[in-house]
Amino acid sequence: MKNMKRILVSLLLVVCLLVVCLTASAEAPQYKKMKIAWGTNTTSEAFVKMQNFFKDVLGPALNVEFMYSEALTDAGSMISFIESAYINGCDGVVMDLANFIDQGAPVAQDFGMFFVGISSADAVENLELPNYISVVGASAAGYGESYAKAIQSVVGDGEEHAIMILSGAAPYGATSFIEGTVGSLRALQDVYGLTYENDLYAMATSSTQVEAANDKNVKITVVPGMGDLTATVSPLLQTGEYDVIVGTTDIYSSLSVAVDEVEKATGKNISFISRNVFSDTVSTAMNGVDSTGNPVVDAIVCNGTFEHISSVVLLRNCFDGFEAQMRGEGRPSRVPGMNPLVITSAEEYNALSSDDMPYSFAAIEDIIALTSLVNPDVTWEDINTYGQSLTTENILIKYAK
Amino acid sequence: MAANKEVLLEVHDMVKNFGVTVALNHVDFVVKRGEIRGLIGENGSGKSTVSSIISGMQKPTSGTMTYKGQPWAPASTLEAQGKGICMIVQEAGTIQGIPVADNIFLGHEKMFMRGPVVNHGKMVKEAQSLLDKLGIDIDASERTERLSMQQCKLVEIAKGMYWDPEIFIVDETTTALSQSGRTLLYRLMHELRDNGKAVLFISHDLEELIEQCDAVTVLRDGKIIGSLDKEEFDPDVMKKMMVGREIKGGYYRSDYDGYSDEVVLKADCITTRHDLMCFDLELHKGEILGIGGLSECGMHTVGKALFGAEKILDGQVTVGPGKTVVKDPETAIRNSIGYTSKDRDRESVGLSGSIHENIASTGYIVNRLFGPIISFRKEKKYVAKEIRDLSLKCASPYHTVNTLSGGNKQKVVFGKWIGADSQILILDCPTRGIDIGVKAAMYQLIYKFKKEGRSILLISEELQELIGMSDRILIMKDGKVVYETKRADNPTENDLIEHMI
Amino acid sequence: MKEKLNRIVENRWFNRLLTPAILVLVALFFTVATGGRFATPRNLQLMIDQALIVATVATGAVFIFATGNVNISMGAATALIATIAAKAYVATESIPLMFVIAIVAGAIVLAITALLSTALHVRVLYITVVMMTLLSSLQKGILGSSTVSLPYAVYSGMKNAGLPYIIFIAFFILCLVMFHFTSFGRKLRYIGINDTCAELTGFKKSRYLFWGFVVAGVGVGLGAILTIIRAGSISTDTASSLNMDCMLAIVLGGMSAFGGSRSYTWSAILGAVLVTVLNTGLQMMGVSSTIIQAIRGIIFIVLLVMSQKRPNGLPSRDG
Repeated sequence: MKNMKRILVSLLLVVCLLVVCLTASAEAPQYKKMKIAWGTNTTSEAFVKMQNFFKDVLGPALNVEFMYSEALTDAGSMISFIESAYINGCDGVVMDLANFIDQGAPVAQDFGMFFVGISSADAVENLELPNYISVVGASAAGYGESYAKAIQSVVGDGEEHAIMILSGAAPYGATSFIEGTVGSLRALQDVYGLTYENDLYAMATSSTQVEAANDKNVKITVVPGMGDLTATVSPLLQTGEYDVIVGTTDIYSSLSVAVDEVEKATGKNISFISRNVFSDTVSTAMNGVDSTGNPVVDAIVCNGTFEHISSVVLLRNCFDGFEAQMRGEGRPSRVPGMNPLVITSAEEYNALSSDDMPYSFAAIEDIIALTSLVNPDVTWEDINTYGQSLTTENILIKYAK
Repeated sequence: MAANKEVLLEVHDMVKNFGVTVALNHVDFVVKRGEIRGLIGENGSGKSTVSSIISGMQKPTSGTMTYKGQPWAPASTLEAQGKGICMIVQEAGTIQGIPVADNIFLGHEKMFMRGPVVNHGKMVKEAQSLLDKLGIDIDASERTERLSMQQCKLVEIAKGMYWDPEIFIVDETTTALSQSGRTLLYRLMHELRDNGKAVLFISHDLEELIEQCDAVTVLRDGKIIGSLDKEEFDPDVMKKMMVGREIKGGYYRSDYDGYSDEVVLKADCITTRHDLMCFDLELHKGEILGIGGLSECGMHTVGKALFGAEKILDGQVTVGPGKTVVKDPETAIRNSIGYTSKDRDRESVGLSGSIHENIASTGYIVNRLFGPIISFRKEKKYVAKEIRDLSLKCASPYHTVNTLSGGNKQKVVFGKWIGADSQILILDCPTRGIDIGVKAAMYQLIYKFKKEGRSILLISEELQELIGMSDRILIMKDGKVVYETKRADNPTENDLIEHMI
Repeated sequence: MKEKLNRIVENRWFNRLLTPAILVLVALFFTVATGGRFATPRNLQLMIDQALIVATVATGAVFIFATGNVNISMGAATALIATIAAKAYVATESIPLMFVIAIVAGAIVLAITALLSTALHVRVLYITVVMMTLLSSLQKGILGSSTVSLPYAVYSGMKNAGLPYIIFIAFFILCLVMFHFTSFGRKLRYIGINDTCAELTGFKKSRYLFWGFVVAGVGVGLGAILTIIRAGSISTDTASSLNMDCMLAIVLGGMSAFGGSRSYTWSAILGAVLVTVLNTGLQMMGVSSTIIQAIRGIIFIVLLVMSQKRPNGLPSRDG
């Protein structure tokens, strides 16, 4: 079953590559110059990386010029930015401000600019606006799937485990945390074939620590909280009961020391699953070995950046006159694209974090192949499918040396 | 006799402008060893400006100075102090919240450094021995805010004297000093003179200048009018030089007109948080009632209490025939009372505001066009009238008050209350720090008020002024009236002093 | 020559006209630099739209700043009032009620600030530091973790009817008259010049401070309405930079940061428009947003230094 899936995806990728080879071998078409306004909620390091990619690779390839906002905080500043995008002659707007994309769309509509929002949740309002093209970005469900995979890689060895899941900001309504927690709980359900006594979502969003009581008596505990995890979690770890700890946020930086201490004291390995991005510290952790001889971090869930590409491609195609294929049926299309990557070994990590990897693992030829001028039949669904295909296995196959 | 003494400091062709205002207009003058030179002139004549330039407090717009034969352009007062030029300024030059010794050695803490720490004990000891040597009875370890105004001045004097100055500049210091303080300062000045140093003495008090100085230089409108040696001293000549016109011998009123029996303002057994305990007072229509005493006797509180600006714990102040109770300044003003504070800059005038804004502040009701809307034209007229009537010297009514000299500032305050047509004026030290030219005008004005039927409460620390102007004088001591006398009794200064102390 | 320059600098019209002149010059510069693209009517309208919320709240705040006091809780107050008003609309679907609630609640919140300051004898600044935290936690409490949104048709309808302009102009004229043509504004300014002296001239500080805050509160209420009309939804980040923007606008608009004499109601709109003109103009010239922030900072400092310079006074001593 699992293998079937793998083969299917691989096949799909091959098809994609074929399409690319067929079309990209031809000359890249003459794109008309267009300008995209990019509204961001943060100007972090990741944002700068994206700007560099746009400036050096994507912009020149698709003949797109970009204009960036300052870090936007509220609907007011977002609207001001869309207005200045119009003044500055932009043709499309990408808004990375999840809570307010539905308010941004009508403003862009007023000025005749195409609009793409970035969010893990789908659009709710203003769906009828013809210029509201799409909502891109990994879905909450995608987070769940990724966590399920990560859990399986650790727990699926047929042995008994006691698991602690740190639900992070889930009680405050943060969807990626909720889905991460629920996904982890579901994965455990599958692995052990157990049935929970309580509702998954209720457990995930509980603001106090809960035991996920079940018929197979597997010990599963959900611990919420963001702040100082060391203080709340260490005492639980020191009981020596838990041997798997799952974080829906970056728990490596906050808990690695505490986990190490417990491992040393009990001589028992604790498996570690964390949400992280590629960085030097994570690299050391993935490649390192703890006091019990096991990897320091066993698996990480790593956010993808495919929405940075899909949004630009969608707008490019709209600008070239193909908005009918980019927008869904009477409503904005939903393009979750790539799920967060699941990395379960040092080898995988090292290969994926290599400098040779293209931005978001999408080769520029592939991207060009997704533009309507090259391939007039391309729809938003193709863009989504391409994004979906970017999983750890596929990437490793594709870029294998 | 002064001609053959060595020249210590020479000021040459000095100009100082503040914006469009010319404070010093090509001034030349010399200071010689072994003399006490008085600097006199009206407010705004440039006395303080020239001395502050000499002592490094500010820089001239142009002009040069020579000190002990060398070019002199001090970058700061500390540099001037180190080179032997010290100045005692008119306002408080001491910092509160630190001990006296720290004030004396402010900016020179290095002298007492042992490694990175200041040896405070040594500093206090040094300061104490300095104070003792000068005959000043102050504990050097006392915190400065506990000292009286006079003691603060004495600390400043000590601070200057420590550096063994070659030129000691005393700027309008004596107004803050009592007789004993003055005697001490005069003694120090004479000692310096006798040791071949020089003293530059700035004062409004002609008598004092005549007594203490060896020579005086007169300034007017930023120019040197002339210098007089001791043998040429003559009050009338000096006044004439200062003002530029004849000032007649006495500038107080000379009549013995009475006043009505009608009581316009009455304090009925008022008790305040400080100073006053069941205090009574009656002010009549057309009366100038003088209140005198030592500064701490409570008379300033009386002024505030009558205006409603001091919390009255018991008893009441009533005004007018309707006996309206005065609870706050608002009621007081509505009942035509005006008040000028002793602390003019802080309480009676808004320094950063324009002359226009200050004077117009009392005319918001009369200058209305309709409803609550104010007529700009009426307001402009209102202000222009006061400026004209008081011959207030200013380039424009829209200039800020802090560009004016003390006398003109006081005129702004008067302008406020005259503009409001106040029938009762409580004047607390109205001529403090004001030179004779403006002073004379003020006295004429006060007399004019009386003749117009207004009532004036004149609170003053200058006995001559009280005797010269009042219909009735109350002398206060420890919050109580201890002596009352009438104009007809022709009281003398000695009579009054006797009751004050 | 130098004297002539001095005379100009010390003229009272110089300070009043400095900012308008700078605004016109900056706008002309951008128009020329962008080949006229900058000054299309649509663009100018957008720049004014962007400045309107800040201008409204800041116009009211002039009544506080004039007294030499600083209120740093206006942004938090606006966010709170906007939340309350938006919730009120969602509950009742009545626009007039939303207006009334916003204005009344704004006036009450600010009046409480003034009363706390005068009753407890604590400087306004310190009270508003506390109020800022208090109001914003109150807002978060009322809002919860979600956002509150008005239906698109409702808020866009108000926008298209030109309601924001009507609200601003009406409030601005009201403030202009109160501040410059009645004794109220003059008294506030006199308190700003010297509060002790103002008290002794019969202007009860506590009373005028109270009414000044009430006017500012009405401004906050209207600002909250404008925020709702503009954005359609309120979150915990709503108006997060509003307070700083208001203070900057007032000062850039040529008003003294210390209140007093040089307090003008028109400073708020001038300063607010100046900020948006700078932002837009620089963006159109292709300057990146990070560099714009830096340039804006530099221009702010230069303008501050220029507009805050006081004429040299004579030394306060006689002589």
